[in-house]
This record gives sequence, structure tokens and C-alpha cells, in this order.
Amino acid sequence: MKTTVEIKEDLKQFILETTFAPADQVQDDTLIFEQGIFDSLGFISLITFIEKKFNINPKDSELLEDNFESINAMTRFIESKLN
Amino acid sequence: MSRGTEKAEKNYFRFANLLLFFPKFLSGPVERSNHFLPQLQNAGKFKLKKVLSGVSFLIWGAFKKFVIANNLSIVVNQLYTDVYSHSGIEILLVFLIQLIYIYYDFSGYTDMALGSAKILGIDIIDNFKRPLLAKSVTDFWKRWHISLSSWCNDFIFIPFIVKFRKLGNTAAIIGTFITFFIIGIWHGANLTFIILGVLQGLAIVYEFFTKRIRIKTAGKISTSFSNLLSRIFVYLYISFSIIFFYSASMKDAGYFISKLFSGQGNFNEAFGTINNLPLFLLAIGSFIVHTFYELNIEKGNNLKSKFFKQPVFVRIAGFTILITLIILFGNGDLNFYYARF
Repeated sequence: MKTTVEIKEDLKQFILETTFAPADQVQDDTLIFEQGIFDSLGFISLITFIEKKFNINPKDSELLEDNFESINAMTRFIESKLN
Repeated sequence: MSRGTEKAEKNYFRFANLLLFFPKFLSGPVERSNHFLPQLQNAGKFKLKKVLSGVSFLIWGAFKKFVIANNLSIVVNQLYTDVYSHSGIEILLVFLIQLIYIYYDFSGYTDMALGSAKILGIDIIDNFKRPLLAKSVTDFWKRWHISLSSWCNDFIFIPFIVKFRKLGNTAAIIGTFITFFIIGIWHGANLTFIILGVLQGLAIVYEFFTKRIRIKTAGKISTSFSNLLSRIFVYLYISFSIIFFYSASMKDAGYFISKLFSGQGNFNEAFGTINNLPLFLLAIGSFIVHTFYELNIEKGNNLKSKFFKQPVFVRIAGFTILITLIILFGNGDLNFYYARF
């Protein structure tokens, strides 16, 4: 199973590749939707990436922007689904 | 509640207060229950600081509405009442100011709503975050009528794309058009409002798929020049789309567009039709000053908090100037354009 650091690194890499944001603007606690780095249209690619990369099947009701607001929040969510 | 993130409000009067709270009843903001209801516990308790903050919002909102919006409204509304009797240059003039008018009319109303609510001890959410400085149409909708667009995002767009996520980007495209179609017809059951919504959807989908190339292109010129170009383009695009917001019919909108760049008429004649030119120019001047203020806030130079840290006589002088301008030059028409929706 991936460690917390590895999950965060995978997520950061995906965000940087998808949004073209400068690396220094995307920290673990950066609110990616609030800061405008990710927008709602990109949300779907984020969900798809997480489902495939970490092999998890979240319920529709769990796919709230709050669970994906930052790398930290996503990591918590992924770890809760993996455990 | 179905998501388990909120509890049901069982007290009828508290629930009625959420729906009917008078400062927001006329035209929003669209308040969320989990933000509004907890505040009712302490509402009505007199807190001088909050009351003064509320009064400052009321004065500022009144300035936006009575001095800026109302002195532009005469020109805009007069033209849309009978678009066929105006020259191309008059139409171009209205095209350039109609977004300013609706912004100051609606945000003036919102500031007054926020102010009245604060006086009663309630903070309601703001609806605007410097929308005229948006650098993309997507960005514009994160800054304009925020309470409506975020509600539509949370309760229409996100549930839709989550449900149909297997379709990938197709779900995002369809979801965008459905959301803006609903925002369009929320304004009224008229084809003009549907076109208004579709134009927003088109721009947002275009921006999503061209993000990489746009960032690359912007990287070739200076940031300040690219920001300026983006802001002008967004301003003109939104100004174009709201032709369908103001027009009573598709025929009116078509005529407006057909005459927009005709060059027919001249500026002297166009300015001559403005009932009170000095008040019109005062409104435009106030808009320019306010835009520089918003640009400073955008750059992190919070002039508002600096003003409120000034000695009390400076603050009183500031608000006295605003009140004097409202009394001397304000047009007291209390019709808010957005209240009709």
C-alpha cells in the first residue's frame, strides 16, 4: 500500500500536469478550488484519476468538493477508503 | 440533508426566517442554511462594532446604487425601451456601459442587504468579488452573483458530473450547458435568457479545452499586458452576452447587434441625448476611481482595511463625503434591476 507521502506526491504531480500551475503554488494545504487552481470542470478528471490510480470506488455521496479541497483532504479521503 | 451534511431545522419560525429574512428577500444573496441558521442564536443583540460596519455597508451600497448605477440606468433603460429609435453610436455607448450599470445596481443592492443584516447581527454572504477584473469567463462566474453560481455548482453541476462521471469530459460539457441553461431560465422563460446561458456555457467549455495553449500564449507577453487584454476581452464578451439579458425579445437583441458596429450617428449627438451629462460623467468617473480601488485590493493592497485603521475623524470625513455626494448627485430611484427576477 502507498504511503501518505507517495499519495501526496501522486496527487501533486497530477494537479501540476493538469492545471499547469507553478509547483510552488500547490502546497499540501492549498485550497485548490478556492484558489482557482482547479475548477469544477476539472473536478471530473480529478475523481477519475483518484478512482483509477488508487483503485477505490467511492459512493456518489462521498464525492463532495470538500473531500477534494486540498492535497491533504484528498489524502485523508483516499486513506480512509483504502483502510 | 440527504448528504448527511446538514440537520433539519424543526423550528418553523427559524426556518421561515431563513426564507423570508427581509434584507435578502428581494434579490438574494442565496443564503445557505448552515451559514444563516446558527447565527440566529445571537442575532438581535446590540453590538456597536457590527452596527457601525452595517451602516458603512449601507452608505457604500447607497453610493453605488444612487450615484453610479442610477445615473447610468437612465441611458441604458431608455435605449432598451425602444432600441429602434437609437443610432449605432448610442447603441455602442450603451454596450460599453451596460455591464457597469448592472454591476453597480446589483452590488449596491447587495451591500445594502449586507449592511441591513449586519445591523441586525447577521452576516450574509457577499455576492461579488470584483467581477469586472475577471481574466476569464470562468473566473467571472466565480466572482459574479457568487451565491447563485455556487448554489448551481453544488446542487446541479457537481451532482450531475458525479452521476455521469463515466462519460468523462462529455459529462462536464453537458453539465456546464445544463447549469447555465438553468441559470438562464432562472431569469425568465424567454429565449433571450437561454441564449445568455448558452453563451456562458460556450465560453467556459472553450476556456477549459484551450487552457494549455492560452497559458503558453500568455507566457510570451508580459503578465500585466496579458492580464489587461484578458480583462478587456472578458468585459466585452460579458457585455455582448448581456444584450440578451436586457433585450425584451430576440428581435430587439438582433437589432442591437446589427447596429452595434454600424458607426451610424456621432458621439456628439449620442452624448446630446443623455438627459444629465454631468451626472453621467460623475458616475463614470466614480466607476474609474472604484476600479483603481478594486485593482489595489486585487494586488493585495487592502485599502479598505487601511481606511478603517485611520483616525475616527478621517473615517467620518470619508463617509460624510459619500453621503454628501449621494444627497447632491444621487438619483433616488429605488427600482433595482435584479428585483424583477
